[in-house]
Order: sequence, then structure tokens, then C-alpha cells
Amino acid sequence: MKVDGGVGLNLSTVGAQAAELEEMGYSGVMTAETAHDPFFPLLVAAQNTAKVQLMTSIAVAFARSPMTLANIGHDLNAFSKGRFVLGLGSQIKPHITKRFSMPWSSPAARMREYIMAMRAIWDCWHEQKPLEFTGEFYTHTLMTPFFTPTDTDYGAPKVFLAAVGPMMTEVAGEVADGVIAHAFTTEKYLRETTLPALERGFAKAGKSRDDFEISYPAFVVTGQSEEELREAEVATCKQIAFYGSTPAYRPVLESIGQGDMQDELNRMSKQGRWDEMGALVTPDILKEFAVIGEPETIPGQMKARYGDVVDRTSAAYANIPKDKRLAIIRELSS
Amino acid sequence: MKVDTGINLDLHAIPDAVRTIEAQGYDGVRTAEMNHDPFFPLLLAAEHSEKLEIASSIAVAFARSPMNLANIGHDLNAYSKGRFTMGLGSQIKPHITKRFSMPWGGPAAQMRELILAMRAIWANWYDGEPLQFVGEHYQHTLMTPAFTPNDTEYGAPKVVLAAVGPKMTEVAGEVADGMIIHPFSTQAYIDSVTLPAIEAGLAKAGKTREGFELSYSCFVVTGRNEEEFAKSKVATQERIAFYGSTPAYKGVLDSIGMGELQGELNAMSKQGRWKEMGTLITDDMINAFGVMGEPQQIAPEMLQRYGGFVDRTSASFPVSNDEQRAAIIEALRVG
Repeated sequence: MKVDGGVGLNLSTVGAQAAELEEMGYSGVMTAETAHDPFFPLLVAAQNTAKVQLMTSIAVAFARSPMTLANIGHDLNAFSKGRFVLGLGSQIKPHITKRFSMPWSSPAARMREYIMAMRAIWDCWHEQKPLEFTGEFYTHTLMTPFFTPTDTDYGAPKVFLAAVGPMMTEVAGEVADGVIAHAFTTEKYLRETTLPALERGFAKAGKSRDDFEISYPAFVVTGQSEEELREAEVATCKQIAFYGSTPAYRPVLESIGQGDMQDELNRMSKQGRWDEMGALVTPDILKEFAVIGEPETIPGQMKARYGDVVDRTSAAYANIPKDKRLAIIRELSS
Repeated sequence: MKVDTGINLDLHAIPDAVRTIEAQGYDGVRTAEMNHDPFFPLLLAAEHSEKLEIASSIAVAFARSPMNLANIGHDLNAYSKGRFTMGLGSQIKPHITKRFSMPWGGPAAQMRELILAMRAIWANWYDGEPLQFVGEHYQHTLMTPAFTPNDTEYGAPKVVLAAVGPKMTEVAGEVADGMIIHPFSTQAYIDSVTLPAIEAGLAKAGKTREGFELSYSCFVVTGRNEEEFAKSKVATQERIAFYGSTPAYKGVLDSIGMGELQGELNAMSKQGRWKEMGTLITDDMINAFGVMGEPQQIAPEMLQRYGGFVDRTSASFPVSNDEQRAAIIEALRVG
């Protein structure tokens, strides 16, 4: 199982941060699109590393034209000598229309077309195929030599797609090179909903599971003392409760027979009772979402539980010292 | 007059290139959006230089959401400690709709709104103004703390706009911090169309010419010897002929009474007679579009003709002698 680590978006420090993660044995460094451009830090990271994959996890696809994203993807992959992974997510409608002033409709169908549009553009650039992409949401029919990159040694980057629901997950299986599962995923949901949806996508595209990566960041509850463990447990329960209050994630709770809890959490969130919400997440529920134990037990537990499904993970292990983190990364990666 | 130079988009070559350019005394570097992202090279240019101003010249505005551009502009300006200028251009409709799959409205009105939208976003980030931008082409009404940059020390970058026609030029005067005059411009066109349109735009916004930065990269024909000079002249003739064949630029040829040439050049371009087209460009025309002469004549001539209204140039000086080129740059900068 590969282990990826997040880097911040501070352009002055990200180079050293990425180099440190590479040194520690991480397989990839990841940026999330929050208050800054998610690609700039990876350009800096590329200069400061030689082996790690450079990943967005995620960049907001619908905030951009497939053409600008194809260009960014090409450039980062060429500059990093094939180490870029373009991780995409849909975001939600209000952010696309009201923050980015971009169109939103049928997200799974639109995302499918989006990724296919990028692939058509890359085929045009890298394999001299004519650009004739006419979809329902995107049209790309004009390309001239002047606008065609010529540094094609490393071709297109890999494209990963963040997905929770079965439709988006199926799209990931069909048109992406990997899926980024949400941390708010139970083992049952992963096996009973995510995997079958991916399989349907693979079947549509005639792909095999071997050509595809499943990334799952798993909640990890760990600590070096009872007290630290307890603290981590409380924090994780709160996070689970926060995600659980989102109506769109109800099916995840349903996977463990806790669908009703969504209503309760949603109600409490509207009353601002964030601290209390965590108490609804019982130890049994927590176990469904998280791997729990002392640092030494984590890799074994992760492998036993997810080794047959998950190709890469990205837990932070933030509250344990660096030497133990190193040991976890080494053991997970081996 | 400040002097800038273009950098190409090969990311691997940027660090060395900008160090050399900075040592040569240039004020800034600029990228054009062609077959690569135009912002990545500027990030590396900022990292590997100390003082150079960095600018896109131009990035295709309508290919992007104003929010994306606002974010990119913020990040490049913060990282370069205030050295970034976002140069925008409209491109033409087929490229926006068929290459980028993005909407094209009336270009001048859409551009005006795009720049105002970015400014509304920046005002939200830097001054805590509520984000309530509801325009005809762009709507931005949602912003939360998680998406708000907090490294606000350097604020918004300057925004400059490339324009040829009077409408876009007026928009530049009204909402931009500067304008990029197209190289295919004659003194007569600048005097009769460009400058009055800028003034009209400035007046609309209650601004003065003070602080509004005009960039103009006239054609320069020169060389350290006969051979170099001849080569430079032919290349310039061909470029002028190429631009002149574009129907949208007929107004520029009209400014020197050569409007009819546009039809002829256009017909020839359709027959692929590019080399021949250049031979139609006379010395008088070259002089209308730029300066021609010995290397030591270039800077004085440019300063005399353009010094009164041009703040920066990225004209290229085709002399193979480094010292001669450095002398031109220095003479222009000293003004």
C-alpha cells in the first residue's frame, strides 16, 4: 500500500516540505484546492523532489475549462517527468455556480464528459489525432500547431477522480485511472458500494482492476498513551459526526444500519451543537470507520482490513513522533 | 521607459534564463499563452529572480473563470512580493468557444465585467467587502473563510489589458491598470484611436493618466551589420504583412491611408504567398510601425517618438552583439 502525504499551499515552504516527505518514504505528495491555486505548489515540489508522485487531491474540475486543465496537466507531467496525478473532484453546485460562475448539471455525466474531453485533447497533442470532441457539456473542435505542446515524452498525466456516490464512482471506474474514496467511508460501504460501482465502470470500458488505483485515506485513531488515544478518538468522532450531518453522505451511514443518525446529526448541526454531535458516534460506529490502536499496530490492521482493496492511503498520523510515523510508512509501503 | 523581454514557456530553461535576463538589466519578463500554461513559467521566474517584474502578456481571459484568475493573480503576486502583472487578452471567438469550450459575449463588455468581477473578489479577500457580484456574464456571490487567502500583504496584482479596437481600449482605460498596445499599431493610429479611447475610459472611471501604464512594443529593424539588418528587415516586413492581412486590423492600415492593402494581403495569404506579401511593405510603412536604423539610433528614436506616452516596451532588438543590445536597453531605461 502506497502512502501519500499532504503538503500545504505555501509556495515558500512547500519545496522543503515535499523533499522531507520524499525522504521519509512517502509515495506521493498531495495538495487540496482551498484558498489557493492547487497546481503552483506542485510545480515547486517537482523542482525539489525526484521520485514522489505529485497529486492534486483534489482540484475542482468544473471550475475550469477542460482545455486549460489539459494544458496544466500536460505541463506538470512533462516538467515532473511523468510524476503528476491530476486528482479531480466535482465540488457542489453552489460553489461551482456561485463561487466560480461556471455551469453545473448532472455531475456524474458532466464529469465523465469532462475527463473524456481532456483525453481527446491529449490524444490530439500526443498522438496527432484530430480534435473532434462534441459532447453535451463540452465542445473542443479547434486546435492548431501553434497551440500544441511539443514536449510529449511523458504524455498525459494520470487522472484520479474523487467519488462517494455510486454514479460518480462508476464514472471513475470507466474513465479515470484511479478513484479517491472519501475518508468518510466504512469498510462495508467500500466493499459493497464502491467496489461494485467501480467494477461496472471497468466493464463498460473493458478495463481491468490492475490498471486502476484505489486511494482511501482511512481514519486512523492512534496515540502513545491511553490519554492520547482517547483524544484522537474524540476528535475523530467529531469529524465523523460532521461528515455524517451531510445529507449526501447518508448512504454511507446506511451501510452500517445508521441512516437515521443522519437526520439527528443534521438537526444538531443546524443548532450549532458540534461538540455534542461527536457523542452520537459510538465506539461500535467508530470501529466501522476507523483503524484504532497503538502506532505499532496500525500497519498490520490497515493491511488486514484493506490490503486486498486499497492501493494507496494518506492518513496523517499527525500526533505521533516522526520515527513511529516513519515505521508505519515503511511497513505499509512494503 | 522600462524594458521587458519575453521568456519562452520551457519550464526547465526558466531559472537560468531569468537569472541572465535580470543580469542584463531588463525590468521584467513576460509570457504569452500559446501551447503551455502561461503562469507556471512566471512562478519559476519569481522564484529565481530578485527584482524582475513578471507578467502574462497575454493570458486568455475568457478561457478561465474570474475566480480562477483571481486566485492565480493573488498567488503569483503574493509569492513574487508584488511583482506580478496580469496581462489579459480576449482572443477571438472561435478559440474561446471551440478550443476552450467557454462562453463568448460581446468581447469588450464581457472583458469589462471579468475584470470588475476579479476586483470584487479581491475586495472581498483584502478588504472584507461582501462578495455580491451579479453581472450579465459572471456571477460571484459565494465566498467562505476556507476559500479566502490570508496572505494579503501584497494585495491584488496590476491588471493590464491588450486592446486594438476603440471599445476594448476604452475598457482598458476604465477598469484596467494599464494597456498593452498591439505591435501592429502606427503612430497615427495610436494618436487618433488608442489614446483618445484610453482617455474616454479613464474619464468614465474618474481616473487620470497618472499611474496608468502603457506598454508598446514597436517593430525594430536594426543589425550590427548589413546582413543582420537585411534579415531583420525582411522578418519585420513579413510580420507586418501577416498582421495586415487580418480584416480586424484594417483600421490600423487606414490610419496611414493604406486600407486597400488589407484586401490585397488577405487575398495573397489565402494563396499562401507569405514571403511575397512582405515585399509589399515599404520603408515608409516600416517607419510608421516602428523604428529602423543603426543600433545606436534605436533608443533615441524610440524615446523621441514614444517617450511621451509609453511607459514600458518589450520590443526586441535584433542585434547579435550583446554590448550593443545592452546599450539600447540602458539608453531606453535612462530615458
